[in-house]
Amino acid sequence: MSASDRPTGGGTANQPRPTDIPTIAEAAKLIAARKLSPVELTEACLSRAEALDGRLHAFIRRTRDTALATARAAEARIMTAGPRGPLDGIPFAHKDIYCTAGIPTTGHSRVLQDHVPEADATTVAKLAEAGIVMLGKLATHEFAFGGPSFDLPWPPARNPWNPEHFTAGSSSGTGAAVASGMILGGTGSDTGGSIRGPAALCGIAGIKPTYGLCSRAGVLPLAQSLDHTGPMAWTAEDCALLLQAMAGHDPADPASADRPVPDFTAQLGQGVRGLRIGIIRHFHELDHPVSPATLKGIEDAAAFFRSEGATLRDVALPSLAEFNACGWIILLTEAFAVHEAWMRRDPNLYGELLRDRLVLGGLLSGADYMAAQKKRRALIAATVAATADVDILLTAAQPGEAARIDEVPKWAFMEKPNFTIPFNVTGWPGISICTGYGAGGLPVAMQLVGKPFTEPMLFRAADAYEKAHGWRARRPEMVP
Amino acid sequence: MPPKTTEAEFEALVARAGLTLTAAQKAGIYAAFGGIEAMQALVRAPAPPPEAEPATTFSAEPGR
Repeated sequence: MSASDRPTGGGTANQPRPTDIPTIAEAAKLIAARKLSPVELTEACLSRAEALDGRLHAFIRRTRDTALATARAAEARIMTAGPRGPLDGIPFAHKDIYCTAGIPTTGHSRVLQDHVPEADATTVAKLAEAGIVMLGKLATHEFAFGGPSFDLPWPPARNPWNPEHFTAGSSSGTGAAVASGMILGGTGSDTGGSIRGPAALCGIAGIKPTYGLCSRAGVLPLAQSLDHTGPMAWTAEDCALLLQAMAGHDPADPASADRPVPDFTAQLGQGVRGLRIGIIRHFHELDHPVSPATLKGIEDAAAFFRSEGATLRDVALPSLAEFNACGWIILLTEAFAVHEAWMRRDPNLYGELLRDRLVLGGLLSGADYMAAQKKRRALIAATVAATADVDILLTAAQPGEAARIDEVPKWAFMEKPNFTIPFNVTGWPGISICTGYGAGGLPVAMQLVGKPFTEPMLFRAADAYEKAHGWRARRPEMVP
Repeated sequence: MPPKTTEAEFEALVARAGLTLTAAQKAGIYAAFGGIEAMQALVRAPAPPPEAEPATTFSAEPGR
C-alpha cells in the first residue's frame, strides 16, 4: 500500500495506532483488510527494540535493512495478491541457534562467533515462505544450555517485567522480545524446558510440540533425542498460527514424524466441555513445592476448567526427581558428545557455566547413558498407563516468579527438579500459559501437557483459559 | 551432597574425557559431582530386568 494508504497515528477501534502491540491474529486480520501496514508494523517493532534493547539485550543482532526490505515486499505482495496467510508481514525473530543463510548464527558463543551458515534451517525457510518479517537473531543461553552468563561476547537477556531479573532459558531473548513487543513471535528450542521456562517467566505463551512434529534440521543441537523446536508468542492462538507454518515432515531430520499436519486452530473457540484433565498435584505440591501465586494460578485454572464443563482428577506419575535424573543424564551425555572436539581443544572457549556443565557430561559412562535410556522407556510406559483416561495434564511450568539474574546458581538443575523436562523425556507436547502475577509483580504460569500429536486440543484448552482471563491485556511497564 | 567418588577417581574421569582443566575448575565441578551420583543411582532404581530395552533403538530401515 502507498504511504497515503497506510494507517497512521491516532488509532480507532478499527485502526490501531502503529505503537499498539497487536497479537499476530489481530495483526493478520488488519493486514488482510489493508488497515495495517506491514512496513509501519515493522518500523514500530524496530523502534521499540531500539528504545528498549539497551536494557533488555534480547537481540544479538538486528537486521533492520533486510527487515524493512522484507516488509516492503510483503506489503507490495499483499496489495496486489492478498496475504499468503496469517503470518505475512508479521515481525518476528529467531533464536540464535536457528541457522540463517548469510546471517551469523552464533549459539551466543565465542566458539561460533563468526559462523555464517550457507543455508536456512528448515523451520526458518518455512516461516520465511509464510511471509514473516525477520528482525534479527535473539539471545540464548550459550548453545541453549549455559546461562545466564556474563562472560560471553553478548550479555544475557533480561526480563522486561523487571530487568534486574532472569528470563529463564535458554530461549531468553525470545521471551524478552515477545513480552516487550519488539516482535510478535519468535522461535525457541526446548531440550529440558527452554521454551516453556522463558514463556512462563516472561508472561507469554510458548509450546514445545510433540517430538518429531517440527524439524530440527539446521538448528544447532544441544541433545538430539530431547531437542524440540517450537514457537513463542503473546498468546496460545498466536503459537497455533506459528506452529502451522513450522510443523511438517522433513527428510533432513531423522526424527521427523511423517504424518499429516492438522489444523492447529481448528478447535479454538470450542471451549473445554468434555475434556478430561489430570492434575499432577504431587509435582508442584510435594516433589517441588511452588510459590503461593503459582499454586493459586493452577488451582484457579483448574476451577475454571471445571466450571466450563471439563472433568478433573488427580494423576500420579513417577517422581519429578526420577524424570529429572533420566533427562539430565541423557542431556549431559549427548551435549558433551556434540561439543567434545571443541572441549578437548580448549574448554575455555566457552563461558564458565556451559563449560562446567558440559564437563559433567564427559564424566558419564556409556552404561550411565544406557541406564537413562532404559529408564526413559520405563517412565514413558508409566506415564501412558497413568493417563489412560485423561486428555490433558496440568501442573506448574516454573516454581514461581523469576529470580534476580545475579542469583541464579550454576548447578540449579541439580538442586531442585524442574517441571518441564519430564515432557522432553516423554516427547509429549507442553504449553506454558500466564496465570497472573506474583507478590513481586512478575508473571507466574501453568503448564498444560497433551498426548503425542494432540496439539489442537492443547491450544483449545489454553486459548479458552486465556480468553476468559485478563492477563493478556497487560504489558510490562517499561514498554512505551 | 559431597561426592562418593574420590578426588583421585574424579581426576581419572576428567583425564579419560580428554579434558584439560585448571585445579580450580576441577575443584568447583568436583564439589557438585554428588548431584550427578544421585542421578546415576536414580536411573538404575529399581533395577530394570536384563532384557529391558532403551528408549532409542536401532532401525535397519531408517525412517520406519
